[in-house]
Amino acid sequence: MVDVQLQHISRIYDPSRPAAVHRVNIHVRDGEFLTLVGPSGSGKSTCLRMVAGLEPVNEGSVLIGGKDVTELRPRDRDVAMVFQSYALYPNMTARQNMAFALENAGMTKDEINRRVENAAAMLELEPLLDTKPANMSGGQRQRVAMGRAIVREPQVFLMDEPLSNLDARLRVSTRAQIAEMQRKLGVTTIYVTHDQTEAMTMGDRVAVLKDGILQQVDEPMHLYRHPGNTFVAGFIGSPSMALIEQVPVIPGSVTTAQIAPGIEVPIPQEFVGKVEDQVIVGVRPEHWDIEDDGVPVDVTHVEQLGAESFAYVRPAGELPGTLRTGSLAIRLLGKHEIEAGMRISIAPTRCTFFDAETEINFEYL
Amino acid sequence: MTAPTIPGLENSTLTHEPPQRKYKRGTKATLLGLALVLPNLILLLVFTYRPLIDNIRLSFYNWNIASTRPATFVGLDNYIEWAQNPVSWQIVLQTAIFTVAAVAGSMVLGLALALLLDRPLRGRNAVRSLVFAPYVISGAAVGVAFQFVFDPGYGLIQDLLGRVGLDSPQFYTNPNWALFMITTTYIWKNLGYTFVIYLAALQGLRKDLDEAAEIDRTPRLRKFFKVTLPQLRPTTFFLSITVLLNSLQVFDIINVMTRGGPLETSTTTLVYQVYQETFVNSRAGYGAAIATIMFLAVLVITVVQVRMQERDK
Repeated sequence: MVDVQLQHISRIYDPSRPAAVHRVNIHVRDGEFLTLVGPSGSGKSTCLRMVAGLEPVNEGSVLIGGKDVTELRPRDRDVAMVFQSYALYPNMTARQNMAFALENAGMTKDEINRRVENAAAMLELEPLLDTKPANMSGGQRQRVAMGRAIVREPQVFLMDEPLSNLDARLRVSTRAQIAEMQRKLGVTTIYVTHDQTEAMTMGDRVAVLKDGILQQVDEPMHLYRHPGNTFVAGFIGSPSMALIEQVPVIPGSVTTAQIAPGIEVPIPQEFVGKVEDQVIVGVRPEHWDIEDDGVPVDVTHVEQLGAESFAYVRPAGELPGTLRTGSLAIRLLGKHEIEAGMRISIAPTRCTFFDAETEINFEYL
Repeated sequence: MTAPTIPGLENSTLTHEPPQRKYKRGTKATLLGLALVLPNLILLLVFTYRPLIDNIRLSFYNWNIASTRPATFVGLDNYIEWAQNPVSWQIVLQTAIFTVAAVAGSMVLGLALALLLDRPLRGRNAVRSLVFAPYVISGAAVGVAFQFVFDPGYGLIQDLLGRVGLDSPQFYTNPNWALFMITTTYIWKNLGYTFVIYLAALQGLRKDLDEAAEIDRTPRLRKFFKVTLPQLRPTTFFLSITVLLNSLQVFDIINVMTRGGPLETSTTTLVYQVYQETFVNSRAGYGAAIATIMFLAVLVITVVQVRMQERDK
C-alpha cells in the first residue's frame, strides 16, 4: 500500500489565462479514500488525470509511494482508473474487458481466471461475464469498469465521476458498495465527483476545489461544521448555508452581529479581536428556529421530502445586511402547517462567522 | 374480500373496454412522401433500372451493332459460349486477382498512411494533400504518367534498377508483370480515397478507450489490433464494399496502359471484356451477357458482405 502526494501541481493550458489547476497540494494517506469535489470547471478531473499521467503536470510533482512519477507514462504508474464514460472496450465481453490488462501484464491463464472470478463474485457480475457492453445497462457497465480496476490490484484507484451516469437510486446503492469495497481492499483511492453528497458519504477526507484552487481538505463532518470559507460553506450541504453579507458588528460588553433590527447574535469571544465593522454570517437550514420575536420572513415555497421538509423564505423587511442568494432555506421539523405565502419569524440558533474581506471562517484566522 | 381502497385507484375497475386507437398515416403525408421521392425515383428508373433490365434482355440476343441486320433471339447461347471459352475463366481469375490486390492494397496502405498522418507531425497537412491528390486526377492521365514509370526502356523503375545493376522487368510483354503494373497504378491512384476515409474515422475514435488502454499497459501492436481496429470496423466494411465496386469497374487505366494485353487478354478484366466484345468486336448481346454475369457476381458478393456485417453486430 502506498500514499499519494500532489505537491503544488499546476496545469496551465494558456499562460495568459488562469491555470486550470493552480498549485494544488494534497497528501493522500496510505489506504485513504479521498474525494475531490467542486463545481464543473473547478479542475478536479484535471487533478485526477495528472495523477494518472493522462494530463501533463506543468508545475510541481506527483509522488506515488514516495516515488516521483511526474514524468512517468500512465502505464508505468501502477494505477487503475474508472472513467466517467466507463471506457469499456466495446468489442470485448465483460470477462475480456477485465482480463485485458492482466493479459498485457503476461499473467498466467489460471491467475487471470482466478482474479476475474473473484472480482465478478464481489461485484455480482457472474451472469454478465460473457456479455458485451452494448447489451448491458448503465449500472452493469459501471460494475464491469470497477471490476476492470479491481482485478489489476493496483497501488492506487482513480475514479472520475463513476456514478454520474446512473439513476438516483442506483447511485445511492453503488455509492455504498464502492465505499465498502474500498475499505475491504484498503487501496488508496482518489475519487472525483461534483456531487457533494457523494463526497461527504464516501470519503475519509474531502478535498474541495474551486477554479483550480484547493479550498479545504478535511474530514466530512468537520468540513460541514467548520467550513474554511464561504465557498466551502455554500457548496457543502444541501440546501446551502444561508450567507448574510455586510452584517454590522455592534461593539459592547458582548460584541454582536446585527442580522436584523432587534436580532443580534453574539460573536464568540475569541473572534472579537479579529472582527472589524462588518462580518459575513452563515446559518445552516437546521439552525433556524421559528420564534415569535425573530426576523419576519415570507415563505416562497415549501419542499416536502417525506422525512423532512424545507421552507424557502425571503426577508419581509429591510435587513442591515444582504442575503447572498436572495432567499434562504429553513429545515422544518414537524411543522407541517407552514405553507407558501405565510409570514413567519425566524431566529438563528447557531452561526458561522466569516471575515468580510477574505471570506475566511474566523476559526481559521 | 373487499376491494382495496388505495388513493387514486378507486375508479380503475373497468366497466367496459377502453376505445382502441389505431394510428394511420394520413393520405396527405403519404402523397407528400411520394412527391418527395419521385424526382429521384424517375431518374433511377430511367438511367439505372431501365438500362439494367434492357441489358439483361439484350444478353439473350445476338446483335451485331456494326451491321443493319436486326438482333436475333438466341436464348442462353451467349452465356453458354462465355462459360465454354477458357479465356473467360482466365479473365475471371485476372479480375479476381486484380480486385483482391486492389482492395487489400489500397485499404492496408490507406490505413497505414492515415495512422502515420494522424499524429501531430510537422507539415502533415501538405503530405495529406499530396496523398489525396492522385484520387482527383483522371485515370487516363494517371495511366499516361505511369507509362513513364514502368517503361522498360526509359522508365523510372528501369532507371532505379539500373543504378544497382538490375534489368527492369518487361512490364508490357510479361503477363504477370503487366497485371502487377496495372494493379500498382490503380492502388496509387485510389490510395487517397481509403486514406481520407480512414483518417476521418481515426479522428472520430474514442479518446477514453485509448487512455484506458494506456492505463491498462497495452503494448502498441496489441492496442492497434484489439482497441483501434475493432473501432474502425464500420469504416473497414464501408471501404471494402466501395473499393471493391470501384475496382471492378476500372477501365481507363487498362485502356491507356495495356489495352487489355499483352497476349490480347493478359490484363483484361470483366469490364474491359464487356467493352471489347461490345464496341470492338461489335457483339452487343455477348457483351451484355458478360455484364449481366458481373452484375450477379457483384450482387452476391455485396449481399454476403452485408450479411457478415450484420452477423458481426
